[in-house]
Amino acid sequence: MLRATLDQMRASAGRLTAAAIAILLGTAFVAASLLASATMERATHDAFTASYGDADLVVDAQGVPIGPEEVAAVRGTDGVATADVQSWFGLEVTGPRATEWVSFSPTPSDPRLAVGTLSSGRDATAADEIVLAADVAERLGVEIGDVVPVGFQVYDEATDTQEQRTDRLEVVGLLEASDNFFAMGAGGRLEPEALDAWRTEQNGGDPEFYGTVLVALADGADLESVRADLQSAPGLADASVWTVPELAAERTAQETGSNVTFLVVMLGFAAVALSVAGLVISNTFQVLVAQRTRTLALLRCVGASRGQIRRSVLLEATLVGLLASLAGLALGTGVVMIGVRVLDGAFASSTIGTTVPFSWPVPVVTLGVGVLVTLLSALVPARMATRVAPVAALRPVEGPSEQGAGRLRMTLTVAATLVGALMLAGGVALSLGLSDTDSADAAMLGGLAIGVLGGLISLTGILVGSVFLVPRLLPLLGRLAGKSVPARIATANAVRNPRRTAATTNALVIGVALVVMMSTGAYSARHTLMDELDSSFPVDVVAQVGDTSVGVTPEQVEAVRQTEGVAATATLRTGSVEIGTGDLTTYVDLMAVDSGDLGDVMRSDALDGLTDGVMVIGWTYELGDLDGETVTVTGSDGTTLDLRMVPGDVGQNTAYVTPEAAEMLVPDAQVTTIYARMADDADAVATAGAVQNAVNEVTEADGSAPVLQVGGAAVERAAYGQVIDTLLAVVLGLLAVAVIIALVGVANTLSLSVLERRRENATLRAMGLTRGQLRGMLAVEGVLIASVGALVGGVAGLLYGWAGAAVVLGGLGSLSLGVPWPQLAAVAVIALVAGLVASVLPARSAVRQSPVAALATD
Amino acid sequence: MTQTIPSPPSPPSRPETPAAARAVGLTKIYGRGDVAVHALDGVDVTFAAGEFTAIMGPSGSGKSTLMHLLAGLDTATAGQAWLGGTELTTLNDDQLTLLRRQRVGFVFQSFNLLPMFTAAQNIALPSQLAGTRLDTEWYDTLVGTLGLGDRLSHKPHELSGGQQQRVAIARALSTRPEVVFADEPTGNLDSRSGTEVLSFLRRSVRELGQTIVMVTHDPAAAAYADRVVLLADGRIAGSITDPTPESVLAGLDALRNPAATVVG
Ligand SMILES: Nc1ncnc2c1ncn2[C@@H]1O[C@H](COP(=O)(O)OP(=O)(O)OP(=O)(O)O)[C@@H](O)[C@H]1O
Ligand SMILES: [Mg+2]
Repeated sequence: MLRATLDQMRASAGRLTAAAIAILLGTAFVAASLLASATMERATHDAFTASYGDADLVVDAQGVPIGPEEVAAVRGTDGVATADVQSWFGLEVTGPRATEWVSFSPTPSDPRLAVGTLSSGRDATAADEIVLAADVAERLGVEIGDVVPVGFQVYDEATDTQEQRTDRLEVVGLLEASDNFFAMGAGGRLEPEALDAWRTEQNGGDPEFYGTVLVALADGADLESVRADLQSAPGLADASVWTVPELAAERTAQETGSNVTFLVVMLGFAAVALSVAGLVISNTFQVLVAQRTRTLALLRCVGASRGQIRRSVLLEATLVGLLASLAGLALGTGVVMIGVRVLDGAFASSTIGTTVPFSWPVPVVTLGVGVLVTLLSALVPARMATRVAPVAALRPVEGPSEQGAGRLRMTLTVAATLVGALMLAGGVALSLGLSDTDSADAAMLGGLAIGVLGGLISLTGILVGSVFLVPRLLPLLGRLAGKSVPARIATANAVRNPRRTAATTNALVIGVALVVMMSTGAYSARHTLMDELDSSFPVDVVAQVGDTSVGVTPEQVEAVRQTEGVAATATLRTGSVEIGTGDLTTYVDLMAVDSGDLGDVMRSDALDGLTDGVMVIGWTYELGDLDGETVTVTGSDGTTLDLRMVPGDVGQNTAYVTPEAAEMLVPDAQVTTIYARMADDADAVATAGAVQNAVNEVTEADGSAPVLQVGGAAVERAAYGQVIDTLLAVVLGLLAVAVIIALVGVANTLSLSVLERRRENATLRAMGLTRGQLRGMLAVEGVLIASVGALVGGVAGLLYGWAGAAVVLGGLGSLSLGVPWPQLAAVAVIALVAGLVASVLPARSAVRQSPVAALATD
Repeated sequence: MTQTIPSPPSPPSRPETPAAARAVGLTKIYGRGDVAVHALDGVDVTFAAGEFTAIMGPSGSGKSTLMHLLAGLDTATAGQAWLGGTELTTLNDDQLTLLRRQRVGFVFQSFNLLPMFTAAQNIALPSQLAGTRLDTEWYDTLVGTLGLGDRLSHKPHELSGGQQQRVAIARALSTRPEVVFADEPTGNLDSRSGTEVLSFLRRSVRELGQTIVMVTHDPAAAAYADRVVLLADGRIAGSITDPTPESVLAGLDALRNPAATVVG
């Protein structure tokens, strides 16, 4: 029987190709996911290890405050050469090119405790010295020897305000750039005592911190005894003392939670690819069995038992699955290896490494899953094979008899689709209905769970029911293909084998539905978020002076106005006023237009109600929302005005008044702020950068002009958009594998049809069908099958996408659902082209065949 | 073979007698070297227009091959195959395809109807392929004569073998081709259905002026023809005019027994 199986396999090797490719792609996905996850885990481990330098021991506070006494206790322990606190402190550093918030660590007291390497200059050893990471210095435009202004804010409880502290430090050294995610304070170094002092001041006088202390041992000290001594040092009873490898392992294990999520998500996509592969495999084997009916019957005639026949089909599946999975394992490993190399080359100090951590679970899981999926997919065809009666060998084979789909299937279809659709609607209703209440988050999660389940159930309904739906849709689509004989025959051929066509389109429906669902969701998310951003951050570009005692120069305003991509500008005076009702008062930042029209630069209608006697005010810390009441406003020189409060989304403790009111309240207010609105087609990031460069140029040319910080919603808007687009691209890339497998399935079905219709195609050729027409006929059939899959998947995906967006984004306020036309068009084009491409190889073998075959009897 | 004196409007080598199909030194060799099979070995034969000719001969004598070459389904190794005034060996695949579409009809042993189309759709297929309108009067004549009136909306699997072959004949005649080639059209039919089919083929020649070339193994079937061409080992071995089952049998016997000769 093994012999017979192998012979049959060899004879139908070509027909098994599609199944093999499908399983190959699916298992490559599994292998790549496992390996990528393992690589990430190792990279995380390495990054942690690197973030502790060459310390011998690490005291990990684990929630225990570590203060100066504890550090002194560590340093005083026998066998400890030196110990450094791993603390960091953020400073705003301003250079000629930009202002950046940089995180600093203290200068190490011993080279062994250094995280990161000095690339030039020396370490900061005095309070007025600073070391910057090379990439930060580059962005700021500073070099060794420059004196840079730095600043940080300290909260003053007495006045309820943030106070700005500034200082000027000299750059004495540069650090090698690092992208180690876990090395906090990698932006630069400060003299340890200066850093501690600043940090303590910012903490409101509290010198304690929560973190780690790096310890270097004295020569000849015994690690374990020092560890024990440290553990029993005063104040460290609850802290843990680790070696670096121990701590890195521990931290990696904690971090692996997110790695597991990554793995689960990746394997989720792999599962989609594999289920699509399963459909293609099942289809292939069903056709193989149908084509071998006569051989199987002959085997039964000569005494093969049903069990032997079944085992023969399953053995064939196992062999195909195993071979294809091996190839998939190789492909997946190769992809990850290349990916790692590319990443390593792209980032100079990448911690990913150049090798892939290959361990035994990878091949075992990959091969196991591949063989299992193939076997499961071959179960139904194997049962079909055992049903072949021995007498079938004696009957002529004239087209496999195609039995109609049963009533049970119909019931199942209708029930699953209806129940799924109802659950989907229920999920949406739950989430939207409770979106304004306190339990919005719970309602969203509940709605999501119900919705996902409903989606799965209805998708099952669609897949089970495609055997009814697809043969009805195909003729409608076929009409679009025209009335020519090839088009008509192609349409008729496509519906001839409803089950096979339905199974083929199902594979495509799954992939396309997911692609369109994700695109629709991303589209809705994008628009909903943009609307949200428009009202919370109505100004595209804001250029602001850091020190409000100096105003912007007219040249700077002109430079912003002239920047390419800027459509409109306005300038504003700013000051601080006190507003209060009764004993409750609060300070707010007062804004008033100086030149230009705020209506032109703001994307929201928050200031529409701004008239004489009105103050448009955002939420305030002390007074909350103010709406309609008249409140006394006290200006900088004590002038008071009674203004009517109009609430508006203009920012916390921020208020707008008319220029006249501002003139009275803050007569000496400077023009500190420039608002700019971008043209709709402008590139947000490029324009914001151009504005920054333009004002910097003015500042560089004119020493008295202030340094301006450029920010605003445009960059944020673009960043949000980019995040969504990137995520979408990644997801679509992953789903593409499933779509490709489905298209292999289309090619497979076509080539099997070509084999089955040898006689018919030859007859048509004899009657005058040209080779070109025969090719066209198969192309139309391929395009029809692919289009039906794309159509059903597209409609389902659109509905799922809207439902998902409604559930997830409903709480964000104005939900804007839309149709992602570009993606839909892309799916349609891909379906058309793929249908065409899928027909190329089958058509080639079809036209090679001589029309003489039509006259052959068998 | 005599030829007309060349005159400007007509092609130079047009045969004098109205020949529907003609083979001149037609040779077909399958394979090469030791395994080469001379399926046809310099065959010269003419099939007159408006005539019903049967080709007979032992299995493997080259009957089907001859028909394929004359119908433009296959290409010759040497010699010429003429369909009316067209020399087929000079044509490429697309030209041959168009020629078959417009000027040749086929009847196959196993009917070869398209299973997804009704009888009526099958009959209409050749004219649709040619992009011409099916002459309704001609269609009604065919359907009436073949007795298919109440079977037109049936699919092939709902028809008996004889009915399927009658639909196939209607399909072959629907475009009024110059020649209809039929390879063992009764091979898969019982004798009653076979008789029906053969009578119709003969009527279409007599009453409708059709030209038919039919390959058959059955002397009784060959007797419906106007003339029988005998083939042996890829060569013409004789011919019988106005055949009867007995004279055909005698002719075939003579082929197996080379001592006897047949006069055509
Ligand atoms: N495609 C082919 N390749 C090789 N040899 C072939 C091919 N087709 C036919 N032959 C050979 O050419 C010879 C003539 O075949 P052909 O089919 O014309 O015979 P036939 O007279 O129609 O026989 P039958 O009565 O059995 O149909 C045979 O020897 C056959 O084996
Ligand atoms: Mg033959």
